[in-house]
Amino acid sequence: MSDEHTPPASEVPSHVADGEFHSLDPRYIHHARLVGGITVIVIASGLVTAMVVVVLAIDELPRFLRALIPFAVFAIVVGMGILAWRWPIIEHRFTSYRLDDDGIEIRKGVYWRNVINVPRSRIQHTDVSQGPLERNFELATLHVFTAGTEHSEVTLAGLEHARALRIRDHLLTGDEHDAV
Amino acid sequence: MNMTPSSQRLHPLSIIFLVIGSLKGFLLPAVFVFATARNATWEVWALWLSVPMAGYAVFRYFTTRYAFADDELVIHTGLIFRNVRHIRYSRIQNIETVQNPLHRALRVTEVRVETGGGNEQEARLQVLSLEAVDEMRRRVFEGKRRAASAGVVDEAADAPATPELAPGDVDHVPDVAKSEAPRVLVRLGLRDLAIFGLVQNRGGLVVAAVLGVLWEADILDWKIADSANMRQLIRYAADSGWFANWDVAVIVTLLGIFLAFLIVVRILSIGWAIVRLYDFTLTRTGDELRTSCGLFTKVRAVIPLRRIQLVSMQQAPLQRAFDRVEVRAQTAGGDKGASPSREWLAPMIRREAVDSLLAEVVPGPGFDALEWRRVDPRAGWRELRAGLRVIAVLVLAAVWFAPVMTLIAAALLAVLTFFAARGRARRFGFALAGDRVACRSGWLWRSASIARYAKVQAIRIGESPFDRRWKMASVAADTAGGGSHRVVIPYLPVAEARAVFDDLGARVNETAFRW
Repeated sequence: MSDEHTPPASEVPSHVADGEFHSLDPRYIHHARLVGGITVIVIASGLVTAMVVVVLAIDELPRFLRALIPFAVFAIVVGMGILAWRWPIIEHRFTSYRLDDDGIEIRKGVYWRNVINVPRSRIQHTDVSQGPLERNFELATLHVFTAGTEHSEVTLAGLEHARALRIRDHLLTGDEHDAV
Repeated sequence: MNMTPSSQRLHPLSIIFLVIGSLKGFLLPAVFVFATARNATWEVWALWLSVPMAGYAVFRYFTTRYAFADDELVIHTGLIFRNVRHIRYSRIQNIETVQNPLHRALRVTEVRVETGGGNEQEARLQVLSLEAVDEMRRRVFEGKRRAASAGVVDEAADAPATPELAPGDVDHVPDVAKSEAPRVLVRLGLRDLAIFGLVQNRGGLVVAAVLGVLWEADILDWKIADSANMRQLIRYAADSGWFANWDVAVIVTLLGIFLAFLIVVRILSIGWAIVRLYDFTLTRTGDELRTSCGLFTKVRAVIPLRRIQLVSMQQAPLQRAFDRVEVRAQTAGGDKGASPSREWLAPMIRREAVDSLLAEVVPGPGFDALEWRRVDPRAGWRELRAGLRVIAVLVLAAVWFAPVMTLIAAALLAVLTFFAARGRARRFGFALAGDRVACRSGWLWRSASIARYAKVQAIRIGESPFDRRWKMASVAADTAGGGSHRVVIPYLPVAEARAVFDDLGARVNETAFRW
């Protein structure tokens, strides 16, 4: 599963079922960084609060620990910050999808890599959802529901909203192509 | 999206039902808590959580809308996290209405739109007026008919029969099925049931249930089983003069009690099996399988053949000793949450009889007729390494406390791991044939499953970091039948995995899925 560089979604003509692998919308990186940043800020404020409480509450804390804790917290927060900044790029590189007349194929995962193929005739229904932050970036998440167990819901986040809608329409208007 | 503008809200009484629904989870425990009141403080505080939940219920009412588009039902939910669900009419199996007495009094009903798949209903509308449901039924089934008459391949023709497939509802059988005489495929005698009970070892369940009830009722006084009786027993054993000294007497007595307990548990298990599965019979009538069993409560189930998603066979060591296996059929659709006995085609069947049973259920090559392909020969080595790694961690953790014991245990475990790894690696196999994909796995506890391509919903190829190091991958075929054993083929060389993945995809695509 090589990390191929496919053109970003926005350059592709309106017909989505071209049988080529596409990357997610580049704006997904900004969106994911924003989400990651918020998460880091929340966790960091929690950590700092916990640190202050610990340092104030425990009197007999050894001196070296008292000095070490702020550094540890700082290191953790910086580490998470770097991860929140870097990870979306990596994730974006390792996520792609392909649509053709037969169905949709989604590859995801950086360490545990999976390619999931959902034939169009097996799609029960689809959702396009948009969180508040996604709306800000004109992004959307495509949910493909099958009758399966493990993959009863296959999601693909980070699509341009209009494109997600086109994909959904393509996936929905499938029945007349079914082989019997 | 060509949506008709006639977007509709739920019935205003929904708020009441949604609030009740969200409180119900708290009310029952609350009553229980106040009734028993051992130490109830945190539970009482938890009750306050129900207030925001009730608020959420009100919010849900105001943000849920549904509309009938040309060929699909569109349901909008949420305000901040907006969700739009499209359900094609042709996919809708059943519009189920659920009415409790309160619903009936207020002339409303909860509506569940089922498409048969997945783990949840596709839509649960709580609540609609009866007129609204009638309209929904009319428009949906009109839509289904339109889709069907447009020459679309779908399940419209089958759908009207679906509501009649409820378990135990034997009276509603399509006429086609009635025309054929039922044939008995499997019937279990008492001997089989005894073996089944022995193998399943559900006696623990009975014991646990009894203990649980006693504990809740506060009847259980641990002092009963406490030292006094025990000491008396041991003294009795020691006094009998059979044992060299007190220590031996203690050990033998404890072992004896333990063994007696195990035997009692097994006997209880046999009893459990006889009560549950007495006179288990699997019959085939036309295109339907029916099972019936039970000594006191007779459980009957109907499994339409076309509903079978996955057939699996399982064998525990004890079953192998008796040359028996267990065969299950995983179904999907309206029978979510049905009792597991519904899955059994045969709780106990002779190994060599499996394929002839399969010939009735999924005609085609059975487990013995398939040409099994092996996984990568390095699979055993990988399994062994993984096992040894776990052992190493355990040793590191325990070696400080009891070095000698730890090392002995580790050595024994390592030997076991070696045989397990070798056995498992030899056993892994898969087959792609005609209309089906099959896979098998397990060393002492063996499993094998067959799924037809037409029942495969999604195909996955996966590489873990460990897989990548060995240039291997796994391929899985997901079906609607979620049992303990699924079609997963691990340890394939990457190129072969890719080929199998593509091959499976192509074969699945050639077939149309019908419920």
